Amino acid sequence: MTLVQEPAIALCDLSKRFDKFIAVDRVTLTIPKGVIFGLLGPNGAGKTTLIRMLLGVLTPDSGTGTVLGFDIVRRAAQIRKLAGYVSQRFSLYNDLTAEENLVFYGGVYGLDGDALVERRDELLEWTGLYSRRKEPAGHLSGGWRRRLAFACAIVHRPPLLLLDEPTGGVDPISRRRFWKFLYDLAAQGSSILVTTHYMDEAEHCDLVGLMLGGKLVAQGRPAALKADLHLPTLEEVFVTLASGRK
Amino acid sequence: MLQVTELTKSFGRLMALYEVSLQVARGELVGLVGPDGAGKTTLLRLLAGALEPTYGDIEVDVDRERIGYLSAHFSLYPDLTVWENVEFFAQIHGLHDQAARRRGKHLLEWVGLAEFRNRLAAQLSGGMKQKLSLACVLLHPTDLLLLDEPTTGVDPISRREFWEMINALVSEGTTVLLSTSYLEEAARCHRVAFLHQGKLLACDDPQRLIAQFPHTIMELRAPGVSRATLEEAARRFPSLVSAYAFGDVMRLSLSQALTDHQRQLAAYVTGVPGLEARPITPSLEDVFAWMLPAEGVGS
Repeated sequence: MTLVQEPAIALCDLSKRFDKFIAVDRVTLTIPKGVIFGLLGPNGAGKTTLIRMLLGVLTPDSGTGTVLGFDIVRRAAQIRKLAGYVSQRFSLYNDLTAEENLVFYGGVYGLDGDALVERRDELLEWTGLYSRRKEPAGHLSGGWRRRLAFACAIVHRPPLLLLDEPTGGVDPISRRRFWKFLYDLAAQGSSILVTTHYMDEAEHCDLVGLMLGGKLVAQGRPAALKADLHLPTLEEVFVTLASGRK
Repeated sequence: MLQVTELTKSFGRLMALYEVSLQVARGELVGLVGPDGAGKTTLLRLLAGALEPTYGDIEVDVDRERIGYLSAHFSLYPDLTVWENVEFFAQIHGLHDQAARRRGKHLLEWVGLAEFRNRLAAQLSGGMKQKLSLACVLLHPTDLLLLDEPTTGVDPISRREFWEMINALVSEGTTVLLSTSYLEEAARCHRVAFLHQGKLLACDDPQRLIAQFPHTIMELRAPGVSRATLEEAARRFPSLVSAYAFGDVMRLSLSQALTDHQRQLAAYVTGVPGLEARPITPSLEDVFAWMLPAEGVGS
């Protein structure tokens, strides 16, 4: 057992450009383990690009980074095995049932036998999908599909979860339940990076970072960010920082 | 201006909307909220004339051409540029004149897309696509505007700008019905209609809805204490109805308000040092969580 715990994510001067457009501009960021980190920013600020670099789907132009101790360029395959990822567009197999999707994704991540069956049932119970387990994913409504996609992303108990707008268009009551899921996972030791446009959700995070035009312009505990600017809500903090840069 | 009576729509065995009755006055701003599958989209599509009711009546006191409808799904042409989409949309609505072009330009500026006018729609971010859709819907003059989740995936700044425009339209007399998953947006509407599984559970002024809430919301916080400990502490309150974590605090719904004395004793009773219990104003979210029938909502 190591005495000094390495962070879940550590980035130094990470940059990515597309032609002339600088999508991510020298981002330096450390996210400790077991923390829920909310990545905020307007549309086009570079949040999704950053997440794609963390997963090794995109190669940075400059800078370095590690995820769970693995280099994001050289050890990307290892990171993808360990991280759970839910994108804005989740990919379920519509002709497979809910439980078949879970079994399929479990298999992809190397689970099998009793362990897989046990994990499948545990997730079906936890997400409330048990009574719908025999329904093809394509027949489930948006909210249930989202829950299934989330269950599939965590079937291998990932120590790190990357969630890109997991709750866009989700009603408030379901979002409240979703956050209960996230708190449960964090309490079990998972680290979570989540992007959101809901500022009430940002208030739920242990730490938040605000991206504007590719740069990480502010980061810290929600309470500290609000106190620094003498503003009552993160929404005000967001709007103040973002409009100050226009 | 809009009168809906026992409006019902079924798709095969699925009852998407069941006997919804609703009256909307000219210039009113009504927010539709409700969980997934509540019937919000079906209601808007029925009002837009995109669906035929199974039974029930819709009386709209407006010309068909003056109803604007924005679907939740991006319905522009990805292989056209931003400006080409605007021009195309103007043409199919028979708007060819200079005024339409000026309006198009003005709208693009307002939604912050003027500098992206030559970008392909396919290359816009989610929020930008929503803004472009909105600009296109507003190209022709509308008396009744039906917006299906116009701000989903849109960042807080753009949402503020969007709401400024909505308020401007409403103050000019446009009637607006919009669905949203942001309750702070719903709270800005004149009235909020809460739908669940096809039924209209409530439709009222947001303040009046909050006033109906029978419980007290109490916020628990204790410096340096884990969520698990706070959850444990929450269970010590005898009148506890429900509790949920919100950042580093727990919010409890209590069937009986605590006296000041009981609040001061909270740390002692729960055994959590430094525990503070503070009453807070209930939100629309608390009201709707309470209105939802327990069954079918999951754990």
